[in-house]
Amino acid sequence: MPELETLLRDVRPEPDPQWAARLDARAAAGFPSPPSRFRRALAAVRAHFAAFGAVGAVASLLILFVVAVPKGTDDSETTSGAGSAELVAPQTATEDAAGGVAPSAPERRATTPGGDRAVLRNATIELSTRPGEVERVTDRAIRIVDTLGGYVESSEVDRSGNRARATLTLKIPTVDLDKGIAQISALAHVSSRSQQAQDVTDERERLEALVRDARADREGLRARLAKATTDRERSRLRAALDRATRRVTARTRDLNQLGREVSYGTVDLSVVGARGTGAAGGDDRWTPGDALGDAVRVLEVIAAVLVIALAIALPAALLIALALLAGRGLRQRRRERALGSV
Amino acid sequence: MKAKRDRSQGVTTASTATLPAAAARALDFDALYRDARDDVFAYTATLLRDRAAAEDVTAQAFERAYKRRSRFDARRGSPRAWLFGIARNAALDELRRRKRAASAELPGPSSEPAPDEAAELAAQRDAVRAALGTLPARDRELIALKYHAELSNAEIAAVLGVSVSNAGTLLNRAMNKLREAVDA
Repeated sequence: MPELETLLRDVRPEPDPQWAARLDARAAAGFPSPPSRFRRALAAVRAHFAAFGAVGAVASLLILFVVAVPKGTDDSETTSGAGSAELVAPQTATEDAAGGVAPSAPERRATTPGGDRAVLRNATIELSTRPGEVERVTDRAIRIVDTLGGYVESSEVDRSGNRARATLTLKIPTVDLDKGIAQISALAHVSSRSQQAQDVTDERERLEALVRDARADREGLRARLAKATTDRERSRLRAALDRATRRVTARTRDLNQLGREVSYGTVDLSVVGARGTGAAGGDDRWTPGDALGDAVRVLEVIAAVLVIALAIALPAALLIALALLAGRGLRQRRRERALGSV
Repeated sequence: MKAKRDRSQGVTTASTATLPAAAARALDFDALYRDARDDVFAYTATLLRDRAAAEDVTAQAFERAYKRRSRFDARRGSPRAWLFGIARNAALDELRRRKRAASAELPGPSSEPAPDEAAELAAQRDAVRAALGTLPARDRELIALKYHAELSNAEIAAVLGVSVSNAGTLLNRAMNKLREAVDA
C-alpha cells in the first residue's frame, strides 16, 4: 500500500475547470462587484451634473440676493418701553414767587402741539474706531451735544496698550434727541445701538396731584392762621404751616426732577478703539499689521476648534477601537465554535 | 512533496517566494492567485465537504484578499499563510451560516481515473477519502492544509494561530486518527 500521504494527495479535490475559468476571468478583472446604492446614486448625479449645477447656481444667486439686500443700517436697533415713543413735553413746573407753576424753557421746547404725554427716552450707542481716533470721535460727539443745547453728564476715557475706550453719558433735549443720535452715529462705525422709551404720564399726574394737595393744605393753614385769636394757636399753626411749606417744596422738587428727565434724553455712548476696526468716515485703512492680527486670530480659533474636536474624537476613537477589538475576538471565537460543532 | 507548479491547473505557473524585507508590504496578487487557486479550493472543499460551497468560499476568499491586498504585511507571515487565513475565516463563516455539515461525502478529483489504474489503488483512495470524511472538522482541516494545500508547518501554525510545534503535534494526531479510520 502506498504511503498515506501520497494517497491523501491523490484524493485532493480538484476544481471544476469551468468554475476555475470563471474565477480566472473575475480575478483578471479585479473582482468587480455590482455598484452599491450610494455609487448608483452618485452615478445618477454625475449623469445630471449640468442640470444640478444650473439649479444650484440659480438657488445660490437667489440666496445671495435675499441675503445681500441692504437693510438700511448696519447695526441692531431696538426700541422698548411703555406707551408710544411720541415726544411729549412734561408739564413739570417751577414754583414762582406766588406759588404758581410755570414750565421751564427746555420743557416748553419739548412740548408738542396737542401732546400731553410724558415720556422718558434714552439710547445706548457703541461706536468702534481705531484706537487713535477715540478722542477725536469723543470730542466731536461732545460738540454735537453742545450744539443741540445738551450737556455731558459724565465722561471717562480709558487707554491700555493698543486699545482705547471712552464712555460718556450725554443729555440731549428730547426734541433734538433723534437728530443727536443720527449725528453721533455718523461719527464712526456703529457696533450697536438701542433706544428705549418709557411713558411716565401717570407718574407725573400723581406728582402734580401731590403738589396740589400740599398747596391746598398750606392755603388752608394760612387761612386758619389769619383767623387765629390766641398766640398759642398762632404758634401751633405757624409750625404746621412750615411743615406744609416743606412738603410743597419737596413735592415740587420731585415734579421738577421728573420734568428734567423727560426734557432731556440720555445717551450712553461708548467709543471703542481696537485694531482692525474701521470708521464709517472711510479714512481708516486695513494695514498689514491688521492682516497679521486677523491671521493670528483665525489661527487661534482654528487651534481651539481642533483642540475641542480632538477632545471629543480621541475618547470616541478609543471606544470604537476597543469595540472593534472586542467584536473581532468575539467573531473569531464564534468561528472556532462553528468548526468544533462540525 | 509535489512541486507548487502542479497545484493550480490551467493557470500560468508562478512562484510566490518569500518577499524581501525591503518589499515587506508588497504583494504580487496575480502570482499568489495563480499559485494558490486550486489549493484554496481543495482546502475549503475538504473542510466544507460541499463542492458548490467550496467554490463560493474560494471565490469569496480571493475577492476579500484582493480587496485587502494593500494590508498584507510580509513580516507577519507568508502570502500563502495570509491567504489561507482569509479562506479559513470565509469557510468558518460559511459553516456558521449552515450550522451543520453538508454532505458527508468528500468531493474527489474531478478527473476520471485512468483506465489502466489498478483497482486496488482506486479502492485505497476511496478508503482514504471515506476515512477523511469521518474525521472531525479540526483534523480534516489540518490534513487539508498540509496535504491538499501543501502548507508548511509554520504556515499552518500562522493560519491556525498556534505555535509551530503545536501545529506539528496536532497534525500528527490527525494523521494517526486517519490511519486508524483507514484501517478500521
